[in-house]
Amino acid sequence: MRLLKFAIALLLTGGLTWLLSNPLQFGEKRFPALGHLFNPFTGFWQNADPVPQGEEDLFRLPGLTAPAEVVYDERLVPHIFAENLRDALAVQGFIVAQHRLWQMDIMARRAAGRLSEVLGPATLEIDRRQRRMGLPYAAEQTLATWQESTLGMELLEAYSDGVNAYLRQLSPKDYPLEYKLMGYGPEAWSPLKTALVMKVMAATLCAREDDLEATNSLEQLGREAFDYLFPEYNPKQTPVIPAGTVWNFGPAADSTDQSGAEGLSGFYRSRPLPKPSEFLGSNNWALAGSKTADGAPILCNDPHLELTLPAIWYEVQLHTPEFNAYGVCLPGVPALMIGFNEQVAWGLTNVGQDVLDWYRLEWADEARTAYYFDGKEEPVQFRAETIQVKGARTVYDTVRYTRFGPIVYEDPERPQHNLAMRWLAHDRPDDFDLNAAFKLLQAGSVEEAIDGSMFHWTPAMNMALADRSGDIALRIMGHLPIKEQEQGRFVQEGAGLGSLWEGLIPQKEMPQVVNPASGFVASANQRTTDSSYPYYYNGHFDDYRGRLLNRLLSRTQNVGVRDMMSLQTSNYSIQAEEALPRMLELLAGEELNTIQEGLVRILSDWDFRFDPEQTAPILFEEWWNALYRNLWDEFYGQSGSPLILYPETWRTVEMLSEQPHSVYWDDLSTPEREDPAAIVRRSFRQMAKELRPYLDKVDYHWGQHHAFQIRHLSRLPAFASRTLRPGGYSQALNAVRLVGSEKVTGPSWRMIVEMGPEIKAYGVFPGGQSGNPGSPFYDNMLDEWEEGKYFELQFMASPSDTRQRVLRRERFIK
Amino acid sequence: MKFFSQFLITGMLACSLQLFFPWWALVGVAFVVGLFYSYRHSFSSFLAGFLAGGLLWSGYALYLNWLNMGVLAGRMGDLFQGIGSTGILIATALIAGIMCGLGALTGSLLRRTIFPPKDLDAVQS
Repeated sequence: MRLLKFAIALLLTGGLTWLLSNPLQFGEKRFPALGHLFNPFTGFWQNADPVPQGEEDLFRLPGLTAPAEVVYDERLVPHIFAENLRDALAVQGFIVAQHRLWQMDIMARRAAGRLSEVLGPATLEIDRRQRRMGLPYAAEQTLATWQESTLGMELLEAYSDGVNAYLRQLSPKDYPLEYKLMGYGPEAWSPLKTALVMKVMAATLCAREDDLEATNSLEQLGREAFDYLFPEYNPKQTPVIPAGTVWNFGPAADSTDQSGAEGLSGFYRSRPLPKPSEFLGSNNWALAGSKTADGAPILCNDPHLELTLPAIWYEVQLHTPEFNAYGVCLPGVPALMIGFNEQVAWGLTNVGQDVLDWYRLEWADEARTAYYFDGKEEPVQFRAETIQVKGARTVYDTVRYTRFGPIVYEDPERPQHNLAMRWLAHDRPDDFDLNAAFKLLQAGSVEEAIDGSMFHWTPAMNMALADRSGDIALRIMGHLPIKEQEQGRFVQEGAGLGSLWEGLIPQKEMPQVVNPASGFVASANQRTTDSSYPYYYNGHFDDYRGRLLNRLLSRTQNVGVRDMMSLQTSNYSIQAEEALPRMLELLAGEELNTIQEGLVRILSDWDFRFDPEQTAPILFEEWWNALYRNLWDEFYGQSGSPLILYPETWRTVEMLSEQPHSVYWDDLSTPEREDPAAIVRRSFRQMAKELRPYLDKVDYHWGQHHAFQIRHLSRLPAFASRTLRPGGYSQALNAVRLVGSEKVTGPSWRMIVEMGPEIKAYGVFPGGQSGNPGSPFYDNMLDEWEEGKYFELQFMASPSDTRQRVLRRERFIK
Repeated sequence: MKFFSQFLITGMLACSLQLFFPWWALVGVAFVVGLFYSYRHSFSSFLAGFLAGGLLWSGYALYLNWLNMGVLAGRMGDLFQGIGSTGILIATALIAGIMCGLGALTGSLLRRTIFPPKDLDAVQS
């Protein structure tokens, strides 16, 4: 009896101990080892970061040439004081790892196609796609160039050493929370991982194209209708580089030649790669002293990206005897991406030109080992990809590389052909491209910043600049291909040398404008130039924010930082300003009920601002969407052709005002022939019906309609932000946009810098400095970001130059 | 007194061993200490272990939670089906309490198997 009792107790104790010590899986749900997780001595409780109270710490960082010091201000922004650039970057690596280790690790892992190694079979398809797309290949190409630069590698390795020095003194109980939940640990950092993180940026910003859609639409519609629906130039657009700029060079030798740009007929049913998000963009502008109240130039920038937690950006100051710079960096990449130093401020927006083209190859043999190129068989290079999978068998994949790039997909329907991916980000940079970032840190003037920026490879950026001597400029930074007319707009034949890009546009011929008479420069992802620029390009361009900026900035006089803040957070939309009056005009005369009349009143009184407390934006958005679907009904519901182009918003607005007799107004599903008024009225009634359930709600405005949470990179709902209701619209300067039900894009960092005798800078981002969901600094700036408020950035001159409470000091010695 | 000493010794030993060994050191400590204690009702041994383990983990967790202003516990509460930060603290206490209690019970029961209670009573009195 006693023995039995003991045996039962022993079994129970042993069994439970085992269960709590191992990760468990119930169907789809995976649980980490709960005993380890809940143990307050090593588990998640150890991630309960205390609020720092001014502590001091000392760390060893092998390789430092002199001691360094870091001062954390009230928002946990580190101010790094080091003896030289190399030391500053080493400390930056250490600090960024200390606050964002899991984030940088998972970004590099994802880019490398190595998620399954730690997360199991669920992520296998993502891994395979990253490798098929050639992201690890691209990173290796970049690394190969870096390795030719002794000085460059020294700096990159200093940063890696910093990260790794942090890792070495880290015990498993201090691992970031995500590791404990997912049951793996961090890995050493290396320059290759920095390259991988940069390729993530390239994949986000310069991998968008519509080649297959455009090819299908051209085939379906014919040339005339295609050009009518999809014009390349919006006549109302004001380009990044002011229209009328004179180019002091001719077109490249034979860029009028169209031999390489033959579009291909054929119908494509699926994309080789999913598309990056459409709603990524940014604003930047610089005002000359002649436009500002204090006479000092002002630079503003707000990059719009997918908003996630941990925040995309990490704020940091880097100070050495040679330079003093402040700004934001990407975790995993040394130096600063956007920021300012004691002389120059710089801000970036995406250029949006298409640098990813698809070429159709004809295989020479069934095994697809060679393809026809200029009539000869050209062999492919095989690249073996080995994907390790946690808890399952290793997966092997062989990717074929052609002269154009990788073959990213299998197409059993067409065994003779494949599309090869030509992407600029696969190319080896011709020089140490990160030099651009290092030169910007130390630039003494707009001119020096422009010189330094020429090292940058990809993604191409619109770089706005302002310096303390009063110069402002805007330059396309990065490399772009020389294309023939319409080259890369459609899928092309990859049959020979004539179909390749002809090379890269020389840096001296990249568009730029310095000190224009207008007194300002601005960009918001619109077309780079007017059609007089000697080189052809296509791509994805914004049509409203750029116009608004140019309109407002050209009128503006005697402005200050406050005005810039209200501009950055402005919810005004030119799309609404142009479309709504016309829509109301066409609606007039329609018999409406009392409720519908009420809706018309709300819309008539609207000031075209997508502010959170307004109702009109809900009505407008829904009305517009209904109108768009009713007008372009020809494009919806066709069987088997999901891959087509849809007309752009600006073209749709133009249809309303300038094309009232177009055949497209006719709704094919009805016997009568519709005109714009009929479509507008039908859409209005649909909107009123659709929104009925919402409009009865008390206190339901755009803010509620457009509410969202910022999700954690792992998509664990518990680590998402609270619900935010900031207003904004994709066509407004405050380009907050919901994509689907969970994803949100918007201003990921708002920065305003006044380059006066004393530099005054302001900034805010939706998140916090810490990547730890259990830290009070994980999302502490959300309130200010939502309300459009800013923090004054502490641009310190020395470690003792503290104007705020110091949260923490860290000293670093060799 | 006996009960209190088992509670105290288990708690103190567990606390020091936890600094170097994984979580299950707790169970081992409770078991070994339990070997030295026998009660008329073995449940008392379970209770001594339960209180020692539960208070040790929840006490330390409460201290960390206080320094952190409760941010992490709130997040973890959401992660575990919305049980809240109090739920997370109770879960922490229960895991340690139950496992430590079971360890202590097993220890006591083993002792009773080797030394049946009669002899034991004689020794004790």
